[in-house]
Amino acid sequence: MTSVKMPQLGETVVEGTILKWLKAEGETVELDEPLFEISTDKVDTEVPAVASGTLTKILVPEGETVKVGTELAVIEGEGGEEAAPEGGSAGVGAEELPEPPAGPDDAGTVSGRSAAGREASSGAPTPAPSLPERGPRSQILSPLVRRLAEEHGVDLAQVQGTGTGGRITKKDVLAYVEARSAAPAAPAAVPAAVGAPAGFQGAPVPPPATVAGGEEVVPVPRVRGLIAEHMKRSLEVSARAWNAVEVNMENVARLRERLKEAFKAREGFSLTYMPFVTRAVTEALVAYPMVNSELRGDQIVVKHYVNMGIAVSYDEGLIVPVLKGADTMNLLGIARAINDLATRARAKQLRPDEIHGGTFTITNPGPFGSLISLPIINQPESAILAFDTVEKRPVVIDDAIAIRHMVYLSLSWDHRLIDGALASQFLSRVKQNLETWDFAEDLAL
Amino acid sequence: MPRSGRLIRPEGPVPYREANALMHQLAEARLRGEGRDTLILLEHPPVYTAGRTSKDDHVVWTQEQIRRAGAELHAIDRGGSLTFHGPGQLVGYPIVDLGTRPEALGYVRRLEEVVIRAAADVGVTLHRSDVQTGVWSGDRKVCAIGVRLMRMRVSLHGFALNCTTDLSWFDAIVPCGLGHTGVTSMSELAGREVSVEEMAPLVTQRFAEVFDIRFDHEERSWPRASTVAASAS
Repeated sequence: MTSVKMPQLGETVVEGTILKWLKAEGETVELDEPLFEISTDKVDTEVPAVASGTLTKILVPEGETVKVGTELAVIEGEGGEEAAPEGGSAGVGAEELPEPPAGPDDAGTVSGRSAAGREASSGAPTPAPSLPERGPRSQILSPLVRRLAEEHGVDLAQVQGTGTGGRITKKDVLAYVEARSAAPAAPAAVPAAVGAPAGFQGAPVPPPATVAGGEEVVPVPRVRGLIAEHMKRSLEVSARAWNAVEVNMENVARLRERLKEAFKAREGFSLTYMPFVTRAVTEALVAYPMVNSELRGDQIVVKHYVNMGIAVSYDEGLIVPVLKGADTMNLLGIARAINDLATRARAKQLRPDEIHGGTFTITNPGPFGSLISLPIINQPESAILAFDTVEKRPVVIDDAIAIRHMVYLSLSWDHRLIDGALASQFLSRVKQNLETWDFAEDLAL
Repeated sequence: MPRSGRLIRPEGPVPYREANALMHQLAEARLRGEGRDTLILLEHPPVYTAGRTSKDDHVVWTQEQIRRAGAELHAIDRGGSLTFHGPGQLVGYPIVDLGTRPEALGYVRRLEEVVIRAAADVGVTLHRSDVQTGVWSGDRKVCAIGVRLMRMRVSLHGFALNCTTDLSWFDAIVPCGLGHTGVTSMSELAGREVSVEEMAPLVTQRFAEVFDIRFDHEERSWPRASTVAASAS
């Protein structure tokens, strides 16, 4: 019985993902035949079988990521059962014994080299230097022949050289390998000799990853992986700082309350707070273009137009459709465009030009009940505004306590480009716009 | 003493299917201990290639849009996601025997090093990313790298360096709108036209240097299928 393990594809590569099993349980495999495919974080490869025999058990399914050295499958050697000692004395886990206590580089390597090691340790004659004297050139080995022998675990003393003067050629080695794999006493039979007792074979082996009760292990979905990278990268490149203002939304709330039914009847969708905030932020970006800028190498690109990214959550994660030319739109135009983008984003029907080219982003965790947020900047932009829950709060107005619709607007900004004074001025401008503008005109209701 | 290597640098674009077939043939020969380590440098007609980990919904354009734009879409055996190849992009397919204990990560790092040095030759400073393969300028990818090993030993696929590439081709495959991790080209970065013809000899030279190979077999014509086996052995 041969244990197939996750190979090591370099010293710093610690785990790999099974992409595909090229053989199913019960199929026969031959030494060096591609058995499965793995993917590491940098490179994919197909992995050849370490022994001939029958693939009796696949322990790690496709799509799972496991550590280097993890047992992935079991190959039972042809005739292996016969070779196993009756009532074998080897205990559970004894199949690990033939693996020599090697250095870290050896752990889990399933190259021909370890196959050679197994054969050698089983009492087969030690390979060269002592080759039998079969001719004047029988002692000469080319690098290619040495390599082939090493790869296939061939003891060259067993190979009859047919080249000039008895020299062993590539053909001789390959012919030997072929003959050997056709023979029933394949090297795979050797590990079987120290394999587990018959009763243990086929018993379930615990999965390699430690999973406690109540836990579930799922592969990272691709979108999740991209979000993770993007967020981490943003924190690495930016000098993020943060501040917030509290905005009295009474003005907007009353207007919305008054017009929302007529709006819905005419437009076919609900009037939310988002278009109001987007309109107010857009004006502030035009007034303070540094907040709408990008650091590109040693240059600052100041953008005198606004392409507003609107973070939209959907079942797989997060997407940021871009409202192009937000600075050219009034409140109604913005409301329609946001509704259109968000609807199509959730239906995964955005066009490619609708998801890049943003100059600033607004995220809106409010509907989910968040009070205040600390967002991560959407690179390569310089700032992001979070708009949280609008709720009634007691506030002091003209030395009296009043109840008003209030909200926290918070801004994460890149201190490489923006200073606290500018960030505060910008937020104050947004606050002032929301508190003082008459939006009714724009809605034409 | 550097190893002897083979350089295939055809004039004119090579269809993806042909290049893919040749690299697999050369790798199989290499696996049998035949032929030499080979670098293929070429340009493709517009083509999108989908690695194993990419899903259909990562193509933003429809098949129809891709066809109408004059490109093909191929599902291939490389790792990674979708990428674009086309005019103005220098594509390199090294078929290198990495031995029985491949240092896969080291191999990818060496490919990145080749591109970083070649870019420096025209005054463009590029760098690696901690999280993704490829060669970058800031947040923008200049060179995509996707590698696969045959039998855990011989390299397939390789790198794609944008020289004068029309970057709007990449619009078709931005997988999600997380404020894109954008792409750029050597020309955009250098502020002048840096062509495939200009970069190819520099990449060849730097590849030879980094991989310690002497390209003493250079071919400017595309090997026909019948001649592949002959020249590989």
